Amino acid sequence: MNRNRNIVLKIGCFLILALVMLSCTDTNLSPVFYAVEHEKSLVDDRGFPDDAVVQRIIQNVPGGNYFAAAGTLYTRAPGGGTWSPISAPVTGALCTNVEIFSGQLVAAFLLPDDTGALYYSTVSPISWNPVSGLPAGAQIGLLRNIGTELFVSTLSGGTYNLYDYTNITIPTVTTTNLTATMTTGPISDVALAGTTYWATVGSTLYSSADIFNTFAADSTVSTNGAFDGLFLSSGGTLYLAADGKFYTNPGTGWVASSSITVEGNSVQFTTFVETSGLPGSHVYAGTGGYGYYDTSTLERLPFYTISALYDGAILSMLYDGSGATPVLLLGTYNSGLWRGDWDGANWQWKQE
Amino acid sequence: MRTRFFVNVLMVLALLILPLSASFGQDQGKQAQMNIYSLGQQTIAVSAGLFIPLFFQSFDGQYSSTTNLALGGTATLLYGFHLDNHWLVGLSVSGMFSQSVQKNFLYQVPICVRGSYSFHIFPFEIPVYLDLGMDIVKYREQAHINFILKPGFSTLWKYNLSWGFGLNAVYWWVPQPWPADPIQGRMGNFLEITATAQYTF
Repeated sequence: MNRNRNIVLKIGCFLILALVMLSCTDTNLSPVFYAVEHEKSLVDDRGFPDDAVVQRIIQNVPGGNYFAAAGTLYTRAPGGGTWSPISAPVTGALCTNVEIFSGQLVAAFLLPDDTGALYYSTVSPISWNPVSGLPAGAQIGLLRNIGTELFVSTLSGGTYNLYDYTNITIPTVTTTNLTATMTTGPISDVALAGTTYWATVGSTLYSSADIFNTFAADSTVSTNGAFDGLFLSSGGTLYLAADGKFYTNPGTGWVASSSITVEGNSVQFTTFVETSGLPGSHVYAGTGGYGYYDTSTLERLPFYTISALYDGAILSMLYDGSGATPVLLLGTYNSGLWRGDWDGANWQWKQE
Repeated sequence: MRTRFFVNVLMVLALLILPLSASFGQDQGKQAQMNIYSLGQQTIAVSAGLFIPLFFQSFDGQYSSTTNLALGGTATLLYGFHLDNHWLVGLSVSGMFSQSVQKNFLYQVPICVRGSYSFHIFPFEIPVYLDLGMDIVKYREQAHINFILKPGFSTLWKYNLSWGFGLNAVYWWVPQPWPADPIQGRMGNFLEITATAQYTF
């Protein structure tokens, strides 16, 4: 009797140990020794501040210079070299966003008195000019170049507005204030799919068949939390993120992905980017603290040993496939700017 | 570089067994009369020192060219129960850390049972032992519990019947199979060189 009890006790202990082992082991990740063996030293080779908050990273034209808004506006040539700061138009101003529109560099600044300003310049040399048509002192949020239009979201006097520019370089510009029905919060993103304009404000998705008409709330996608990003792929599919899910719309309606969680927490997505020729195209989505995801495989990236990215908040992404080596740039919150060089099979990450 | 590393390891091992070779010249008859431990006595030992990553090996026999781990640190607490003058059984709990090339820390916590046989060569004592048990491995988000085998030996100078001081050399063998993708399975091979103090009561 006692002997049987001992055997049962031993089997129970073994099962408990096995359960503990299973609970500790994440089979989605590579085993520890293998992961360590395959680590490569992280190189920091471009002189970018390693603790910077990179709000936006853009490229002038394919093969052209990169620009990064990280408090200071930085630029470097794509082939090599180091990042150089660009002087702000006002002493002490912080660069919070940057965009290219009609061949002009457009940059948003937060001035020392907490008011905002929008400036444009030729890409080279830099010569700042204020963009007219916005309320004086309005803080600039979104800057988005959509084809022949530049969308600028502002906060002024407690009111959120969205402006549509078709020309920024003439002293008196024509803008359209699109926010008659969109005053509940900041406009987080804008996209144009076909002839339909889409915009997200908090947990509401807006659409408009004509930019000069009023945006109307679109209730075909409902979410509990705020929408996190809006992106149009080269194939014409619109991507949207909310509540730890992707929503895709190829023009025939919205389809939700399965919910993506890490340790029980819904993943908050921040921004999208599309790569091509790697082979195939991939749409990656940056997150607010869990690296980035491949939207087709829902795989969390990069390899988990690169902690600054794997646990990083990705605020901005840029793909440059114009060179011999495709490059993916990730702007992070407090971990600077990272560059992935495609080696034919994987991204090899280096801190800029 | 690799050769110099192994030469250094061999030199440390040679230093460890110096007391053994020195003691061979002593009076063999005197040693035969030594009787330090008896059934029921207990020993507590604390060790701390260097953790040397040696190599990883795949289960098909391939050796890695590098572990990508730097020289680390380790510490061990041992509780042992003497069966007679030579044999001891005990429980050891260790901890180690080592930093990877991407500045991430690898941690291991082996919890083992120990069987040990001691040679007495006055005033030295040379326990040869084998630890086996489980090894909790933690690295970034990943954690495993692996089997671990730790053969080793110590050279202790007996200050008196209660206290002994010396050095340990312990080999850590940690197989980490990975059934989901056997190519990723590895056997970790490490060396521990530590200073130790032990108290017997």
